[in-house]
Amino acid sequence: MPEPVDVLEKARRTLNLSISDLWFRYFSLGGMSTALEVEAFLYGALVAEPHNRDLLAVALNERFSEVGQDHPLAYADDVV
Amino acid sequence: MTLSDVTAQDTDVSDEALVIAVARRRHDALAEIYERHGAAVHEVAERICGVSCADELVHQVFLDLWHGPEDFSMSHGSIRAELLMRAHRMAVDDLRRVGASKEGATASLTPPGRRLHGSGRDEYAAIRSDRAWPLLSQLPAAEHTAIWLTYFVGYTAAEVARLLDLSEAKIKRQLGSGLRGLRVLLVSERRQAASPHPPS
Repeated sequence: MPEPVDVLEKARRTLNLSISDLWFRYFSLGGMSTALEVEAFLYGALVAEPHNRDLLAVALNERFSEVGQDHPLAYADDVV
Repeated sequence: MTLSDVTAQDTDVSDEALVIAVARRRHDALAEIYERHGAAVHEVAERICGVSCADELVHQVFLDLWHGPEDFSMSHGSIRAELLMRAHRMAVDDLRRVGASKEGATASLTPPGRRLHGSGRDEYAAIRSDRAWPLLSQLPAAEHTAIWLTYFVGYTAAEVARLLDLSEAKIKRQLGSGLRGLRVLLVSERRQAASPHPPS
């Protein structure tokens, strides 16, 4: 399996979340992209807008919280 | 082919099977339904109430499907039509709720004035009034949906065909037979109204 190109994808694999599980969390938070588009974001085939990237980060961070970890993924506003 | 031995992304899986999978809490099934129909649902909602409202409605429609797949029947002929009808209904409700500008609300809540030719004036008058709703629901699902999208939402037959993923010729046939059915219902309604002893 190739090395993840994106920190979000790396986090997804760490959490053992399927693409569709991550998509559902992202969609529930207000994301409008399809699961295929989310997959393309994660693999670097599409560039996610900051809003979409943040929603994916929130979805992953929420999962990290559920399993007792901190929020390791930064949001767009955090990176100045 | 059943969902147990395929992935939900498989194009051979029917919408109905995907809804069953949604009832089994399969995220991939909802993702596939959204992939297939999300854009069309968004288009209908956006046409009525604008982009930002449409985003919210699309979420609501698909999350409703997630939380209550048993409520999504085939009463409108297909899952796609059911999703579109729900988006339309929610968009209209939203416009009413927020008290949209009179001009915008009028354009959205009444038929767009698409003309019928020849003997269609009675049907047209019915469509322009609230009388049409209960009558429309008595038509076959496919005809109901075609008439609703054309005369209530304001799409052309070509646009309806694209939205429902059917041929334009088929949509035109459905519109024709639907309007003929509506005429029969109108005549029947008038006879009942004129009768001194309406049937119980």
